[in-house]
Amino acid sequence: MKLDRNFIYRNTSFVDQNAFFNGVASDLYAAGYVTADYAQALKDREAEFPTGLPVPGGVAIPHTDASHVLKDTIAVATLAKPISFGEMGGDDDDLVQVSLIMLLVLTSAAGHLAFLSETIKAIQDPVFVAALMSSSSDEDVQELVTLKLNI
Amino acid sequence: MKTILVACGGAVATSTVAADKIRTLCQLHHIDVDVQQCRIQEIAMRAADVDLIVTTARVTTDYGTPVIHGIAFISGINLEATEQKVLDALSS
Repeated sequence: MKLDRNFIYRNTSFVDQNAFFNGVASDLYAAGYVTADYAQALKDREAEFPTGLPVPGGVAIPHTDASHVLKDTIAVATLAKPISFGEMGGDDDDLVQVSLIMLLVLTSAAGHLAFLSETIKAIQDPVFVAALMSSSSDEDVQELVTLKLNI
Repeated sequence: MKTILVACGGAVATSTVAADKIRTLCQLHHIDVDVQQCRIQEIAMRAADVDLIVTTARVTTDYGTPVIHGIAFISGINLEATEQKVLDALSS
């Protein structure tokens, strides 16, 4: 597990969720991390089981079936302008304005418990989220995430 | 021993974290549990064999087994209230 700097989208704008999924999936696919249908699989999963969390800052943790993933990684996006995600466990019209996205690209859950636990702990930590949001370089984002998630 | 089924969309990310937190919670309270994971779609066929279902997605189906929404294990919001619900369900 490694955070590749190519999958850091710092202070970036996406018009909506689909634009984010298309953009990041295309980068992941080009680098050999996911299958060609990854973007669609992500969108389908997010539509059925939304991952927006109303923690400070608004965070989403999209992910999809391991069958669409070839290599483990995580993609991190800090958004210049928040985008809407459905709220995890919420009603259909419960939306969260999200400014941080941690896209979990995992080939399996087994063996990633520590990583998943640290990720969930991290997004619940307002200090970490604020520090990420105000990072002034991709290197800073990479270092913050790598240290915090212990990866 | 009580059996808890923890379900999420893919039986991967969120149910893994929730299941781990429930195991720790039960250990802390000296409750002997078997925590299993599955996909939301699989709940129906396993519900009858378990004492409690915890989900990280919204479910409205009546499975005949108590269901607790466990989003708090992921968001941390109102976590103590959710933990108490789990403990209450296990002691009943």
